[in-house]
Amino acid sequence: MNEGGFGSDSAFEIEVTRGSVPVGRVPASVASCHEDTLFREIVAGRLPNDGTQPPCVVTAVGTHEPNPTTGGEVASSSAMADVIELRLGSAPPRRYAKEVFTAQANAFVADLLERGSLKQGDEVEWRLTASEQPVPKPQDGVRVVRQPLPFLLSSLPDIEPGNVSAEIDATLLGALQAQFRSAGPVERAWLLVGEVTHDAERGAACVHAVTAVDVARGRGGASMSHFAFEPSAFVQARNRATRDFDGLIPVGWAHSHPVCEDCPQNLECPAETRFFSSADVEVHTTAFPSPYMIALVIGKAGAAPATEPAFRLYGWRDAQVREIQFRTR
Amino acid sequence: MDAAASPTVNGAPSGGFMNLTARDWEGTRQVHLDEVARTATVGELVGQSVQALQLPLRDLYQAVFRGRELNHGDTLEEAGLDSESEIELVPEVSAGAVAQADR
Repeated sequence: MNEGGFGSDSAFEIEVTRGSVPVGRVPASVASCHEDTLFREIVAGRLPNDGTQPPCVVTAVGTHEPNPTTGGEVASSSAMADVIELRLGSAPPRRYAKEVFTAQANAFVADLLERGSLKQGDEVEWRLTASEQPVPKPQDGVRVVRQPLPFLLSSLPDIEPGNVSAEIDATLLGALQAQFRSAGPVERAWLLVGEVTHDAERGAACVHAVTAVDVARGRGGASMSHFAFEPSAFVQARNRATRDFDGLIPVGWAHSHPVCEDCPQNLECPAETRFFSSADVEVHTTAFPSPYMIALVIGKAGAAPATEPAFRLYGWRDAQVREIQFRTR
Repeated sequence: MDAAASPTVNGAPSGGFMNLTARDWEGTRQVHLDEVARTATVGELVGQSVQALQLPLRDLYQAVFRGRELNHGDTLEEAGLDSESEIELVPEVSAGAVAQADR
């Protein structure tokens, strides 16, 4: 096994169909499952946090042939897989439902739309397929290595063993609320900066967002309903964060979902803008793939007035991006 | 690098090779690539690096070198890369409320 790579006795693909007719296939990455298992084993203290990782094998379980009435036209020997099992060294195997591939499937559908293979209004389905393949050999001249997770070691007596909690400084939340109010109906984005503490004895961890750094909008601009990230802006924000805040690291990102211009005057407006869209999931999946990374959304909270913005936090749980709870510090 | 396995060697008329490092912008993972043809394109380098690092959603990444985004169509030489250069792989994505319906 090459350093940092995966072995697999199955090749996984996402297949998109329209009316049971295949439209396209794309390789499915099991990276989020691998990161999740590795992270949990390190947090639990069963694996050392030194950048090494044991061999990893991914297997399809519960595979079945395409249903001849709904999927019989699939011209391949692949079986449909509802669950994959990931084995990392001698650690207990973990299973992941195919839903962990939803973000990849959504991105592929968007790609098919862009390429003209699908059109707006098409009703499509996707499935995970697995076909047997030999374990790939590492490529000559290609070495993948990884760094230890950026943990601070400390005691976390308030966190249950096996848990990863999230904490956000009250001053940070207040600053983001002030910026939300002053920004008007245009999305903004920030890089969250803080620390990740690990209590190896208790098998617990805590991600703590201390402050935030502005991320400049990219060529695609920003509006009431989108914010385009420039690749170099990520790097600039990270460099600014590590330069200005000694000892702190990026721990995630925050962005706003603003309200319409009339909303602050309309106290009856029930709009709820604190949610995580599929575009947000794509940002988190690609730019913040480490399992400790969090994503804060600031927006209007249902019946509350727009002048009192509130938060929801999202993060990785079981290799999927989900809403998670946080404590204010 | 195995020439047969490299997307960078086939068709390269000459010009030698370089050793490069590509890492994700979080700094967690990096891939060292030996003997990459100088005439390879940035796009080929990004593609191979993204595949080696098993990054998700493979089509979305750009290469950033010394704070500058590189053009996928440029050769490594044209992009200003040299042996032992390090690039960062960063996604080009948009966040937002545009897809509330499918949350």
